[in-house]
Amino acid sequence: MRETLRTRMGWLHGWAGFVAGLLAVCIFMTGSLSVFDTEITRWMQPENQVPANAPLTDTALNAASSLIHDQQVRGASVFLTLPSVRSPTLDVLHYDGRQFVGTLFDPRTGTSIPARATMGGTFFFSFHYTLLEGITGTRIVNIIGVVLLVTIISGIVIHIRALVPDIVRVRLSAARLRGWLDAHLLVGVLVLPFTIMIIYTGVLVNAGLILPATPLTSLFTPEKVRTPPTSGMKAATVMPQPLPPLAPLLATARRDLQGRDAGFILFSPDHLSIYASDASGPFLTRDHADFSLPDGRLVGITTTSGSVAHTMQVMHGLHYARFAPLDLRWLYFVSGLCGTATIASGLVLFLMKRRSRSGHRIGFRVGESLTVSTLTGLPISILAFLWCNHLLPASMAGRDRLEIGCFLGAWILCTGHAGLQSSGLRMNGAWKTQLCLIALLGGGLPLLDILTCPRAVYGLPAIHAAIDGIGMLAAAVALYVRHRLESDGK
Amino acid sequence: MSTDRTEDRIRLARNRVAGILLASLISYPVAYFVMMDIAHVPGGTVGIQLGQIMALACLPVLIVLCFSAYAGLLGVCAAGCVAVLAGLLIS
Repeated sequence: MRETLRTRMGWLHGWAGFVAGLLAVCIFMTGSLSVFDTEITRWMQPENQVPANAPLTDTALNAASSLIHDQQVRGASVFLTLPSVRSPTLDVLHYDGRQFVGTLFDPRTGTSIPARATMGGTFFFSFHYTLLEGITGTRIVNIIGVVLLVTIISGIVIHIRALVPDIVRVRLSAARLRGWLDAHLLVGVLVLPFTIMIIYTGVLVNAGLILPATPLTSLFTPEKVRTPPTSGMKAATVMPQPLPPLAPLLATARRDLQGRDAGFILFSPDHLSIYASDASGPFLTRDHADFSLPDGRLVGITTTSGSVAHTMQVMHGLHYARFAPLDLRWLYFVSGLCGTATIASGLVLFLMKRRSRSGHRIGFRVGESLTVSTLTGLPISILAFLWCNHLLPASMAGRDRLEIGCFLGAWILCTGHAGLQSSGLRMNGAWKTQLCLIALLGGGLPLLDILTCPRAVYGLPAIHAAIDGIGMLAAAVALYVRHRLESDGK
Repeated sequence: MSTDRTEDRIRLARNRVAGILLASLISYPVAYFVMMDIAHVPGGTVGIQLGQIMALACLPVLIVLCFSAYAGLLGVCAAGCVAVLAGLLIS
């Protein structure tokens, strides 16, 4: 067999793409959903019906201040998230070890909103970059990112010669393999700049985990268990100072942070820091103004300067897209879904090419069942997560944990189902059943939403229509793919 | 005849797996040394950030280059040697 650059790159593209692709689909799909994490949280908390651009009053700030002071006296480390266009509530939050939880205030009246406990859209965000495995998960995500870049480069090498003719003569209805390949090429090339940008900036966000600026040997030494510093313990016993009125401090911070809106406020026993909002521009900074307590005197302004720091801030800003207006965020979402579709079609192509020669092998069957559980199992578990949120009683204790349990349980069941079907060589059955389930759960999402939270649907129609519409879209795609599977089987 | 072809295919697959492992093992230290060389530029964390930006852009290219052909492998090794020497000179 003659080895050429193209065959060598083809092997690299196929195998690296398949191995990394199984996880990359999960990362891309949840990343695309994370673009609308705040909106998903609002969908999952129908009790919160504060309209966008609700004015922030001194009454609300005072109510939040008194709660913050009470919690500080009890030793909790809290922060205050200020209202924005996407999240119009005033949130007093703290970290409970898994997520940020706390009290939501109406910015107009200062009354607390009895919103249900939920993992919300931030669940997709944390899944996207940690795979629910903490630092180890983030490291894995980074490695997958580099492997994806390798896959893209090798893909460009193998397709570059016939790229233009292949795209011009799209043969989607030709032979199955040719059709899938053309679809893979067309979608892949269409979003190639976005895909490269989002993977590269994503790896850069946690670059220190993959390329630490420490000796290489430190990668192989076990991490030391951190003991809490004694000064921190002392700090916890320091009595927190009473908080001054926040409105004048916000005005001062806005003036000193070059007119940028404030995003959140961190509180220490003797001072508070007002941070510039991530939505104020493409530079994702941690610029802040510090004020002493209890007098509220401006202590200092911290800003980052320098072209390299600004470059890094732009890289972060481009990845997080928190500055992006609604239309740009939709573009991110659609491009993310196209990236997911490229990887998904690549996985299917990899299996199709090897089915005739290796279809009977156990390795192939494991690979195919993993592909089914990724491509259809993950959407099922995402939809099950959303259904679980609306079906569980709003006042139920530990309902956020149950939501995660439902998500993981549904995924494990899908994997088990695909594994069982593959052991009996009935893979089409696994695809069809799971596609049907997506259609059922996705298509039923608007109905569920209207039946369980009619007031929220009426109060915030845009958010509910968009998320229910995405469910319907998933159902339509699943039904179409199922139809194609059936017509190919005949 | 078919046995020969099967053996050929297995040998080829084994060579390719060894090739990608070797490419990763060589490319990662090269990218790391490039980052450390740039990190030595005065300016504290700025150098590290610049080093990470450049090294992470290079890493996938180095892996593909290293895997593509023998000449690529030699080129990446040579680049690694230059990076190590530069690091020694700077420090």
